Amino acid sequence: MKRRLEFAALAVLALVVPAAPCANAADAEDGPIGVLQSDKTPAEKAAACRTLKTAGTAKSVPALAALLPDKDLSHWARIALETMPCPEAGAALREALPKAAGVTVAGICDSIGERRDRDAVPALAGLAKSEDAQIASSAATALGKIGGADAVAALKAAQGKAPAAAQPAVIDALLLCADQFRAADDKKTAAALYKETYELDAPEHAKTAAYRGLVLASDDQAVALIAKALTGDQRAAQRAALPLVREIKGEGATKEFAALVAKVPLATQVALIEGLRQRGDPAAAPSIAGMLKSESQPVRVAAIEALGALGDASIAPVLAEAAAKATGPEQDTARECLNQLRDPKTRDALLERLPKAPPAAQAEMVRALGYRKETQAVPALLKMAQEGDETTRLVAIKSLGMLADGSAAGDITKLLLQAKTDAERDTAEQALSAVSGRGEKPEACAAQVLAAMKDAAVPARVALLRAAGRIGGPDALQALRAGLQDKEAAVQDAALRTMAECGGLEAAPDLLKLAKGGAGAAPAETTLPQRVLALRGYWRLVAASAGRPAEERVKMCEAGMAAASRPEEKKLGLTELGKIAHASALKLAQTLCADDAIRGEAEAACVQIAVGLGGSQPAEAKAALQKIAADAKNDALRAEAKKALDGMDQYVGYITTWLAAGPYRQEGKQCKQLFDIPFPPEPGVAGAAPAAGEVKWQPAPRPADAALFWQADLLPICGGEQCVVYMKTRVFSPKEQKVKLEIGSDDGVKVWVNGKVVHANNVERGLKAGDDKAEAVLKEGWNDFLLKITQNIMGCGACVRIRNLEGSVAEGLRFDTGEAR
Amino acid sequence: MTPRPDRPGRRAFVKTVALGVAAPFVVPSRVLGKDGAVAPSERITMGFIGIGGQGGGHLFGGAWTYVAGGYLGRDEVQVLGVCDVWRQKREGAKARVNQHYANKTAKDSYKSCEAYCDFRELIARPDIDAVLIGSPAHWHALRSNMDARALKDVYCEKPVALTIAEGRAMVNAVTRYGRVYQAGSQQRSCYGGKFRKACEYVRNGRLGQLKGAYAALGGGGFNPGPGPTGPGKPVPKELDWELFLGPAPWTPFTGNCGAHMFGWGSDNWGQHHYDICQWGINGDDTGPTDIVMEEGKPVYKYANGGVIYGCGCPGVKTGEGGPVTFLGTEGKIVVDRDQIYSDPKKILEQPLTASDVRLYKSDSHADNFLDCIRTRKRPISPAETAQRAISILLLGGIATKLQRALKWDPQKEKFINDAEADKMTSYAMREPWHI
Repeated sequence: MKRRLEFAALAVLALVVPAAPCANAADAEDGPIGVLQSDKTPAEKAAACRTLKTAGTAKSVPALAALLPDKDLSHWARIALETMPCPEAGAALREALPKAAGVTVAGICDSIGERRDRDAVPALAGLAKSEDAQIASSAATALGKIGGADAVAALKAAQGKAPAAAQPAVIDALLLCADQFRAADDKKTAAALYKETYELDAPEHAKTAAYRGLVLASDDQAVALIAKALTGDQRAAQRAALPLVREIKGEGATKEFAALVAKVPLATQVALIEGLRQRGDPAAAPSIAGMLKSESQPVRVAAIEALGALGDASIAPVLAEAAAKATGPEQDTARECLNQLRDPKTRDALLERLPKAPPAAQAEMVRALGYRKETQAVPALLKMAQEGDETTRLVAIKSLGMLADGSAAGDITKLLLQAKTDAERDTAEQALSAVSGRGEKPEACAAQVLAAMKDAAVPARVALLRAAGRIGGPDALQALRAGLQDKEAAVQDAALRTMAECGGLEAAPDLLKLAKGGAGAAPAETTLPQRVLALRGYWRLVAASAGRPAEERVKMCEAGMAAASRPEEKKLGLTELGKIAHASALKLAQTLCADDAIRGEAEAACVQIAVGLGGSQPAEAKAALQKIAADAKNDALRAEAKKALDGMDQYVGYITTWLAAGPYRQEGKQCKQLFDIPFPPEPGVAGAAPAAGEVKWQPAPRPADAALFWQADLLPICGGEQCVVYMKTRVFSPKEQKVKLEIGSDDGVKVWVNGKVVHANNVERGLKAGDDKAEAVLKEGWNDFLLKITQNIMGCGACVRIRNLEGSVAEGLRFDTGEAR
Repeated sequence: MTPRPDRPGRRAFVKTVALGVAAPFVVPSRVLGKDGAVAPSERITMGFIGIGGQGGGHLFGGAWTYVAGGYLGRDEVQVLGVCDVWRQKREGAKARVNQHYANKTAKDSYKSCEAYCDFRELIARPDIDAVLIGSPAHWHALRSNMDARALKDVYCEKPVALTIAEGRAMVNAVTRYGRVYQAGSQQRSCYGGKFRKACEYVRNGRLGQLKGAYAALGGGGFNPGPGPTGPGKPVPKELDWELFLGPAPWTPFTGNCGAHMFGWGSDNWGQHHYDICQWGINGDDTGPTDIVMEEGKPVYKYANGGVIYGCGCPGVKTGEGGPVTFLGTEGKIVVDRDQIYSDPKKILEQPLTASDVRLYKSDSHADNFLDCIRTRKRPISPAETAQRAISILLLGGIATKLQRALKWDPQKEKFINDAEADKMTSYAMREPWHI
């Protein structure tokens, strides 16, 4: 996209930006000054002040100063003057103090304070003692912001003399002065002022701020002051001290704070542990670990969370034991902390402790090893799956399922055969499927599983058959087919369900046969539930066959429809049929409209297919939509068809199927330079560059927003900036004709039709439909289109619409990327 | 122009200051929260400032409260005060709150909640632990500042400030008085953890080298309004117009009482998305060093190499609700309140490992706030983080106004050798309000 600002954007900007500065500062200033010095309305003067807020200089000060005493416009004048860096603005504010009255004076004091104007201290000193509490408060606050010894003296003078309502502001201001001494590294003066203020009969908020400041200004004593506060009974000091636990630096400080955890009142322990956690210093971990024995659950939870953040591997067994003892949220917290402990030695720490840990803790350690994907723990987990107590065995098998790979399939098969409970067997079955998926040879895993079926009892055979079915492969499919014939009903049921739920595309014929009644595939006759189950599994496979050729999928749908005896399953099939944007799918759906039981769904599928076909076969799509718009029983569907028709008219002619190749770059070349550098996809490029035949073409992505289907989104292809991407497709024309190309591109674009350049525009811009127009001659039959798109920064994409020269729809065009022609 | 009425509030102001503020105990006994029923003495007492759509939603329940019945429906909370410049809103809220408690306690006479027009009277109550600010945006930073000074813990809706200076003052007050502050950036906590997940994947390099975070929206800031234009309409008796305006420039009542009346640009939603971008690029305690304008939109560059774009990601549909898009050399992650997806899909399909960086986890913004009041833990959207997030939006607003590149010192919060831009980091408040 281009970097320059569009005129349109400027126009929008003018609407939203209240007072943009002009290029010529003098001009910008003269106008508003004139307004201020005229008898214009207050609103116009306010607007002038707004402009001078940004454009004003010393030249504006006199005109603004004249407004300061005006109670209605003083604020507007301050808006401009307060942030004006020139000293004249400060002088104007000072000089206005005696000219204004009441709350207007307070406002002027506020602006003086914001400007940190030391020259105003004498005037403010007097006003801080004003009988008007608002003026006294504002003057005191301004003195606090200005700071320095003179300001302190003025504020001390105001203590006791300013109205009672202003006294808190005076104290706050003294603390602001202390802050400034501290910031200037005069900590001694700062500490004295903080201490003095803290010891006053001051409001709680001021005492809090004073104690905080005192700690921060007392380098050597900071930790001791915090400790004193946390173990004492002064609330303001406690309030200040707790956040400082996380702010004061140093490992020594960590240890001293940590030592306090067991000493502070129960109500403070959680906060102190939190503070230590937020310090992020592992030195606190041992003391915090001691709090796991607290009788208070919130304290224990805080300790667990802190240990999870601060602890190293050595804390892992401690957390496991904490999880074992706890229940509910406390247990969840301990488990989560253990799962996310970042020390890479955590696994070794857990494995070392595992054999000696109590059974409940063993289960927690085994669980954590699984969640942490500690693959080297597989031998230990296999051992626990055999030797642990019932809970540990179950958790160990589950963990194996989470982290082991296919090499563990044999061992897990043995565990399944040895399972002492149904839960263990079920878990082992799930684990088998999971680990086999991680192996390089899942079929070998399936073979191991199937071999174990031979002498297994029925429950184990069922579990192994299901596991093998999920793993997949020819042997597994054969086993499922055999299972359908098994004399045990449980095995038959497992075979059917597994085939329906997990079978691959190869199982489609089997499921179809079962759906039809089971001839040759199942014993005697299949029941209706079995047929339904099989057909639903079949439709699942149709959905899973999205990568297969459209004609093949339509044939699958046709066969499924023939096998379906109930409308429910036919409707399921129509859901899949509707997703296939192909003329044969449309034809089948139209045929199915004749069945009253499924007419609504069939018509909906017609609409869906027609919309998908709109780009490549607009005539067929349009006809189908027109029929639905006229005949459909359902009002909403008719409206949907009509809406799609309206949309088609707008988008007819957009090329919607593209292949893309790239990105292509050259070191140091920007997009505009790349525009004329030929890369392999261009006609006639030879020599050192790879031959055009080696170019890797892939379907051009469409934007995530389906409404933008008429664009190609090339950003995923670009993967960055300063490059070019090529797009190609083929356009079928029913006759030789001259057409108009309406092109949008982000950024530059070059277009070849049948090998000849018909358009080139080396620009940096965003994508807008029809930005460029070009003419091209289409021959009768298929025409090759090639686009070169340059990428500057941010987005990248293109769109092309083909129309007759006068703008009407060019009938009979079809688009195809070439491979399926 | 209709003569401006005398500034009201003086009496209340004096009264409030004279009252001073007493202090709730540093860590209340309720920190020990027991299972089951919460005794009245262990509840967190709250006041609500602004009972309009947002504040009312928090109080009574709404899309952004994430708990049926809002704060009022929580056993661990006791609502003691409601405040609004509209009489019918505050009185209606008061009646509803008291009726709720009367029903709950089966005592018709149970009355615990008072209504206030002036928030200063509400925060002067020593028995209120925390306030929730859901008032118009031009009040947010000043009220947060004053509430913190009154030793209240604060939940403040976004935008948390309309100038960078008032935002910094808010942070200073929260720090100075040791308060818990939670910004209403609930995308960090809510919506099923989608935003946290996105940021964790970005932080752990799952997108390869991060090329940029797209915030969907541009800059914004304070708009001083039209000023004293004409007589306006009669102010309804139900409304305290002076207290509605507060620190904003005086303007006649025209019927507009919108929460964002004194804001422009993306001041309403922008903070949400910049907040997430900032979380993803690890910029919570800093800010950009360069702001440049590209195609009329601000682009923010950080010292750590992070880049935030004040616009949507090309090719990703963008509206007020986002989404935020993180784009890296290996793909992108797109996240809004309804969805999270990656391109390619496999990026999000690979789970995080034990050694991966995890971010602060909170599943409920309101619960996190209440938990932090009890434990004094740092909330998930603390003041400094909120200030940094809103600063991005405000810096973008300044760059948009000036239409040029800016250099920013994120530590000093000043532009570098740019007095013109510095002028726009603050706005004088209308007397007697100051921060």
